[in-house]
Amino acid sequence: MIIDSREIEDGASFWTDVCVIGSGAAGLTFAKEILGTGREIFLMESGGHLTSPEADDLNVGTLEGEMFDYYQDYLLKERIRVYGGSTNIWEGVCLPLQEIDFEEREWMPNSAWPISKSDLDPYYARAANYLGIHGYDKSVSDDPSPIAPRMLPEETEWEGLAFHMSNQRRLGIQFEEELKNAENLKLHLHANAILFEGNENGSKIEAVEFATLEGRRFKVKANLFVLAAGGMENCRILLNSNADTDQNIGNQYDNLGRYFMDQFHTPGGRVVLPNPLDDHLSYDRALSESHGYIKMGALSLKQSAQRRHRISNQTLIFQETSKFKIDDERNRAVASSMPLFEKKSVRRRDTKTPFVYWFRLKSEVGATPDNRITLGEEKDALGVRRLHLCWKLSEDDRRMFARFTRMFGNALGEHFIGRLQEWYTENGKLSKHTKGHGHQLGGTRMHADPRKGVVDANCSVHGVTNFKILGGSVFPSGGNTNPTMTIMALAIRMADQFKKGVS
Amino acid sequence: MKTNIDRRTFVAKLNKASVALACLGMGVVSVSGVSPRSGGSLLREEKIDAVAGELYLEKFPEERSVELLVKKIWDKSLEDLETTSQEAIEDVLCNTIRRDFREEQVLSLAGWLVSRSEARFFAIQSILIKGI
Repeated sequence: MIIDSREIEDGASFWTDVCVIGSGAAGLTFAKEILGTGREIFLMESGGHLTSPEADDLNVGTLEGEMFDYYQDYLLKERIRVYGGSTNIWEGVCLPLQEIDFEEREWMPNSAWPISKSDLDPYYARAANYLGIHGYDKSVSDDPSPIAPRMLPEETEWEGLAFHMSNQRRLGIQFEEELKNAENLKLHLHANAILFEGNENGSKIEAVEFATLEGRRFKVKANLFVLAAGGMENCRILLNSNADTDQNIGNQYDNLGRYFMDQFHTPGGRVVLPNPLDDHLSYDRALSESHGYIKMGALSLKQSAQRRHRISNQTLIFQETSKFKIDDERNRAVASSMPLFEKKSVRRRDTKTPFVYWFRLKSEVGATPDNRITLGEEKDALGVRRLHLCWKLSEDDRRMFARFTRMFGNALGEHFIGRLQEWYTENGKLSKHTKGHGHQLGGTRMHADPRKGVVDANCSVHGVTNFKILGGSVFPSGGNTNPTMTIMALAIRMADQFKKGVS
Repeated sequence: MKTNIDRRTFVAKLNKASVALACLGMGVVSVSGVSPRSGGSLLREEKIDAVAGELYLEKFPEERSVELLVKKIWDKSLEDLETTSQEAIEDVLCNTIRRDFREEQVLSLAGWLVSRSEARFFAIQSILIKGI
């Protein structure tokens, strides 16, 4: 059943078994997974089926840090208040995190997860089924994973990564009919969570207050609350719940809102090659449909090499383009001054130009407590304080970005494969095309120790019996891939735990 | 700048070396299944290389000497290089470039990452074109 919360009587109060706040990838997946339990579920969504300027305005906040110098719209462009959440604007790039992403790495601050990749593997396979991508769940399909592209010889420290591009990424649409017809689920649209109310000692959530933009307010009480409102909004709602009250939900040790991360995303440089790239590596060339999904290749350092060189997890994504012609004579001279380029027989017909590709650098960044979400002084239309986000790169982050690109250039040169021009430099100013990836991670980070995290290994808020959090905000480290598949895997895992508890 | 070496002899030797280098490089990796073919010579584009070489010499003007550059790349005098077999010249040049990249003896010319030995190789051509 779908309920328009704008029609709920002001001051109303409801009770349900499970209250899920947010209908993005996390909330939707969790709700769908527990439908069969028969427990009553309220799925609460801030937006409706369409975006509106009034709802968008709730996302306005302030930014701090050079990462936003060229991306002032970060808070608006990378979030959306609508049924289905960010799956409505997601490109659909899927790849699980790697083993190394879960490990404690001395060179990546606060990087350890309290779970390992093997803990999530079964759930990745189930997430893959929702997303219509194959190769993860052998019981469903024998289709192989996308072919890992090759650029450098196997004995080097480099390997190809193969991303799936899901064409079933609009989860709201995919699940809507089933959710609408489910007798035990009520999808509330236009319901904005504004306040978590804990009991006297903060060990239990008693209720959550919701508000509509029309000025109505109502409360939902539940046995279990799951906050899945998005990486940043999860923090903002809790920070507001604690502000001006004596509550301190999820923030006993001042971790709430801290350790924010996105992934660093910038044009990293270009390469000239005598031959075209492997079809699976070139972004444009790889847009070949296969089994209903699209593959996209990238290049990364092997995990063993990352450990050896103490470097963050990063990828290079290539794009062949004619936009990046080498015009300057000196520039062209060096690019062309490579023995391999004399192989005119393998150059493209009708041109003496070698193959030029630019590449994007997509990089993990370190989790540091000073990168954080806090509350500004200004309030939104619901009377809730707006968000302030501070995200700055550390010197270590910068050093590792530059190092990664340099290592790639060295490998190309050592094997006479091509020549690389570095665009990102350690001390240089960031490119105006530099931006976050829109992957808002951290803020309610997962850690077994309540002094170091907001949620535990099962995404339960430390010290609160009936409160769980889902979404990118629980990530202790971000890896080099899009987080949605991991977010869904965590949601399915949580649903399985819930189902076990019910049974 | 005058050099003692006969340019034609020297260039011919380097020319052969560069062809060998190219073939060797192509033998390492076949990208996308394209079968590499040998052919061509580096010094056919010697003017292009000379531009790159000039960029190097702007950074390291103290190396504006063919003798010095040959010594640094091949660890030989020009006279010794004349009597060195073609294969040995090729091997050393190739291995030196590889080692440079492996050991990060690299530099940036117009933003492009090149090995120090490559850059010196270009510099020799720059000097030869201008000096003879």
